[in-house]
Amino acid sequence: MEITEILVDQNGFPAEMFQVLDPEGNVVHQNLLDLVSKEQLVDFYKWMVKIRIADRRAINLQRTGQMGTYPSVYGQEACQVGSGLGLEKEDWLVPTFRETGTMWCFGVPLYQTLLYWMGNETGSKMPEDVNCLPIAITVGGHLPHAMGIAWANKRQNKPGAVLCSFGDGATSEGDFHAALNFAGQIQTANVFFCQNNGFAISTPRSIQTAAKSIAQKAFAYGVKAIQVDGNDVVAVYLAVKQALKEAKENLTPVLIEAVTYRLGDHTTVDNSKLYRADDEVTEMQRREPIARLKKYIEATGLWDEAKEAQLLEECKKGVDEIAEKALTHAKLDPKNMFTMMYAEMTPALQKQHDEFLKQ
Amino acid sequence: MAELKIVEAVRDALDLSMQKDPNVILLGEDIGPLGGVFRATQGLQEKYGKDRVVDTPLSEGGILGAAVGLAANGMRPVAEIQFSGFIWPGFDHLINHAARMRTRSQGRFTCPMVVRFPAGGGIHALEHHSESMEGAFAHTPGLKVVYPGGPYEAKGLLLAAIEDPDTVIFMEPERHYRAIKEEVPAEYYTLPIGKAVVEKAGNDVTVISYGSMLWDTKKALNNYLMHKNVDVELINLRTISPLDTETVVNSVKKTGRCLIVTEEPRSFGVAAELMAVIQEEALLSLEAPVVRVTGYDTIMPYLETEMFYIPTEERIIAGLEKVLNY
Ligand SMILES: Cc1ncc(C[n+]2csc(CCOP(=O)(O)OP(=O)(O)O)c2C)c(N)n1
Repeated sequence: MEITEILVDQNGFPAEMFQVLDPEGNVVHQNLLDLVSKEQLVDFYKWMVKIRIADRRAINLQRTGQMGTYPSVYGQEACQVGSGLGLEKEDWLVPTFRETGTMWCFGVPLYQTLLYWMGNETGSKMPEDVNCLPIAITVGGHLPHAMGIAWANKRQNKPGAVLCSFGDGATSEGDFHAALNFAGQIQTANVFFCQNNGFAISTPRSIQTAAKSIAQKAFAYGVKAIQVDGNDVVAVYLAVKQALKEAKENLTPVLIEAVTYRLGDHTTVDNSKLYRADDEVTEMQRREPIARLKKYIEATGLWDEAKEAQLLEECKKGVDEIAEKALTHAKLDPKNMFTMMYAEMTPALQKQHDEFLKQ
Repeated sequence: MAELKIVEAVRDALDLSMQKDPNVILLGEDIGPLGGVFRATQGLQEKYGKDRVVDTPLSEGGILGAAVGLAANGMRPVAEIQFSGFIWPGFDHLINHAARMRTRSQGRFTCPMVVRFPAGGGIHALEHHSESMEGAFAHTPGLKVVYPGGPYEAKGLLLAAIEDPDTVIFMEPERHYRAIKEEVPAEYYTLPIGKAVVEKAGNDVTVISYGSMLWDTKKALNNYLMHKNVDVELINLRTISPLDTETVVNSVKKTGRCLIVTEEPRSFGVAAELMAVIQEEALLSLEAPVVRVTGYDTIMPYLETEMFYIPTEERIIAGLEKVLNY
């Protein structure tokens, strides 16, 4: 051996991205596709369409001044459905902000998510029977919390794994490192689900890290990993299912890198034309997740135009009703800002609260 | 003279400082092709290149920690933090390192760096985008804290901050970034850090404010003084730490009454410090207890109710009348 050969680099990884259906809707692994039923495939499709319609509606609510800034999930529907439907009731979701679909699939009522983006704190109060933390706006800060929740499960012999979602940008925060390191070392049932959508606002994935993949970072922490095609809902679903299973059975944390693409702007206050080429977006449109699954279910006779028309009509009506529910929801009583601070109001707060009410 | 908005004045200062000193380097999230989410660095990467206007990975700990090292080794880093609430992952570097580098190394190394970010609420932004935490920075020995109100002083103070031999936290009034236009000289100029300015002289009552709240205070006073005959002296702090106690104390000694208007949480903050200084140095001149109109000791509410947190014109005037009618 030569002295110049003693250092190793990252070229051994990754293996090929995990895929079950290719962008044309062709089957890559029939035996894996057989792990999901025909009904499930149709269900995945319906959910993705429903989420896209809800997402458009949310953007429209912002554009018409009825909601605040909103981060669209356009293009990431397979990630959202694959992870959201992969979770069991006993599991936890610790979501980032771009999770309208995932949270909905997991049981968070959509009107609440809309209410959150309208700027009403009630939107962050999850239903009692849904183990979901409020949306994390600070990038990456919630990853260690997900680890702590899984740790508490372990200490208290509670069932369930914890899925924490975040973007590629979040992997640059120190908390990403801390969370994976803790999970690997303490051995907790964590699934770290990264939706690598190519961007953190204007910053492309290549600026986040010189590593070839995000998935490979897991190995440095003794954590298992997979890189999956994030526009293939079947692949995402199977990866999430398997990761949750192993995490629960063996207490081995897993990092999933789902490679997808943010087809919309970062949020409704962003203009992505300032930093990316239209051609790139057009190219990525061709690989978007809904069309891919549609090709397959149409080709196999599970879906047709009549069903499509009916679905679209149902979704529009359903989403309209939900939006209406959010829009007509009672405004938050502003004294909530005082009463929700501590279990009991401190004397200083009590005084401020009383003066506030007098005005 | 050209009229500039605050965000344009900031950009102008960054541009001039980069022209003047090749060691000035800008680092932050989305400050390159996008020009920052508020466009404060628009066009600068094109002009100075990717090595001097650097889009970093998404890590405030990385940005501020790297800035400490850059500064300790001869560079003049100017870091942009996207919003006030996102500075905390890097706070360790400010408190434990930037603020202490001079002391710990007994002057062998120093930390001449600037950390800029928008502060304050009122633009209907999301959680963590609207806080006023100047008190936390000012309470850290070793940091200087500058919070200009308008475009003219934003430019002069930012250039002074970049020249300063120590670490300067530079807060920019978020809801007035584009709302205020002023004549701003095109050339390079600095304004002294640590000096307040008397915006309007008067004899009846001293009103002190800074940053975003300066504009709300001015507006409230203007409306009030249209039909009330009160001779107000208005002080704009410009710098929070080091505090210009001389200007404040001289004014209060003259007027005997003082109202402080800030957006920060009420307790343990800048307003509290001003009240302490006035009590120490001007107690016998006071004709009424000093009054502070501030935000509350609460989490900044989400956008639907954030206006209930930010001091309103009614609250400012109620405070003024309280101190006048004591
Ligand atoms: C700690 C922190 N820093 C900065 C921001 C501002 N910010 C909001 S979203 C975002 C980019 C996030 O990128 P990524 O993690 O890839 O998620 P994506 O938005 O692509 O879903 C940034 C910089 C923030 N919210 N939190």
